[in-house]
Amino acid sequence: MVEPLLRPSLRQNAGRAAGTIGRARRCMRPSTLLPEPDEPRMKVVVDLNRCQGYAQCVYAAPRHFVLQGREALIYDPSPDEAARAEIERAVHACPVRAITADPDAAGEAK
Amino acid sequence: MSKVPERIVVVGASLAGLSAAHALRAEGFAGSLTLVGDERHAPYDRPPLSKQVLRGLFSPDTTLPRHPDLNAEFRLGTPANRLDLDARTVSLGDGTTLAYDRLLIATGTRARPWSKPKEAALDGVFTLRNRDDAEKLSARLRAEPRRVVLVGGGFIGFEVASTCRDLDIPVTVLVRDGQPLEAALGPRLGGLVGEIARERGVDLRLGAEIESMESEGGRLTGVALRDGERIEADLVVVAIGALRNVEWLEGSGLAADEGGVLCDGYCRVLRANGDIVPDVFAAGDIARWPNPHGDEALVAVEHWGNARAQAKAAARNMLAGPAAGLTRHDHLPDFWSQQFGLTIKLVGLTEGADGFAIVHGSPEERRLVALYGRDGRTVAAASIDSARWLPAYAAAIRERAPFPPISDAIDQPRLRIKEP
Repeated sequence: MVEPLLRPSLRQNAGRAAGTIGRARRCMRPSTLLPEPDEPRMKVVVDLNRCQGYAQCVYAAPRHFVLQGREALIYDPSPDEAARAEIERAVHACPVRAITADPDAAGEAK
Repeated sequence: MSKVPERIVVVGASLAGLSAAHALRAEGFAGSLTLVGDERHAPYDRPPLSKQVLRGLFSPDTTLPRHPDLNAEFRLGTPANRLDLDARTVSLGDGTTLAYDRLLIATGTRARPWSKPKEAALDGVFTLRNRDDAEKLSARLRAEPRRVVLVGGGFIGFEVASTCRDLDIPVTVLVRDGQPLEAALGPRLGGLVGEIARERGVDLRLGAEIESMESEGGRLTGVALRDGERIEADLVVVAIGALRNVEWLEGSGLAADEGGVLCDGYCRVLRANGDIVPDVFAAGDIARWPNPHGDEALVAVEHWGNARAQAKAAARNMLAGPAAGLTRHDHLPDFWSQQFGLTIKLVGLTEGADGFAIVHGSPEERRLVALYGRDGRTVAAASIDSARWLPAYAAAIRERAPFPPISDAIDQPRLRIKEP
């Protein structure tokens, strides 16, 4: 469900780049850790250059995507983890592939 | 180009820096990857700050998605303050030094401050560039100010003004030169947006400038205009453009000034003497590069889409071995703005345009596509609530299609060419 960061042909050459973020995080010095949010949240960004206001995301995840006027899309950049299924529906429903949501952190290196 | 890189440092942890990091991993880079950012926040998205974040819709947390395989070290809250090209090191504000095999400069811009520091420091005077600015300003807008005065006729100012009207806050916009949004859209469409803003209750003043700000006990109470008028206001938002964050490059020998960091079409930065620095690249708002869609004239494009595209081109070129071809950064500049319930989009650059034609819709409908021509070529297309037409015109601009476009098409029988 999450696109791999590496193209398959490059994966084997990538060594520790792939699938090791959990380990890497634990190894890093505390000062280099990113601040962790209080509760797990997804991260969403929409390429509004691409968006053409087809509003499919609004149907797929109405609590997190709203169309104001004819084509001004506003969206929740940090939806609750509980909304994951809805958000992923929205990602796949977008006809111009404008939505990026962060992948399932537990599903690394699938 | 030197050997395969093991250590890549990206200075600037915003959209361009993060996009480059993702692209480097996607291209197979497995070595050490460090992103340096002067803000304490993880990379976040800026466009929502002047719109939904300010309005208090949804979460103010616009942290950008990061891939779980990114495996990058983030040095946040630590600005870079020196670049040594010979030693191949970057010095950071916390006294540490990072060595690099390849470096990406993506330090972007900051808001241009109000020219009088004492007024700029008043409680109630804001600029809007980063997340902390947006959160503070958002809280002040929710405290029901009597009036907000916007200084500047650019997109951020108009987006903030639109948000104020959504919140039913009285707002005055002061535009010093010409029409609103004129630099990007030309006076004709800029004037239309100004008209729409007035319909939505914005007190728009053209040719207006602040003489002085007035205060009591360090708190803003109003502004006095050049023409003598006084406007009572609790908040002033100064939105008069941006300054490029090039100061840390002083003494490095790079061709960097207030116009940006000069680079070639492959995102490689240049020395002051014009030589290419093969291992140092630039991307995003800070990069000044030859635009193939504008006769190779140098441009610095402060847009979201360019930051992402240029970061990708730079990442690819950072990894290209001597045998591999470099990727030309040939992004066609594009941006969007949402204001007063409308979506305004532009592809291409309107600078120097000598012709303008509305090819779909009309100003009266508040829905249109307009083309801009220069020297007989179509150089830009703008849409208001008509985004689905734009990709076709973007293709025409890339192909240097003639301007005026076909003027006797059956669906556009009354195409009129005007001044932009």
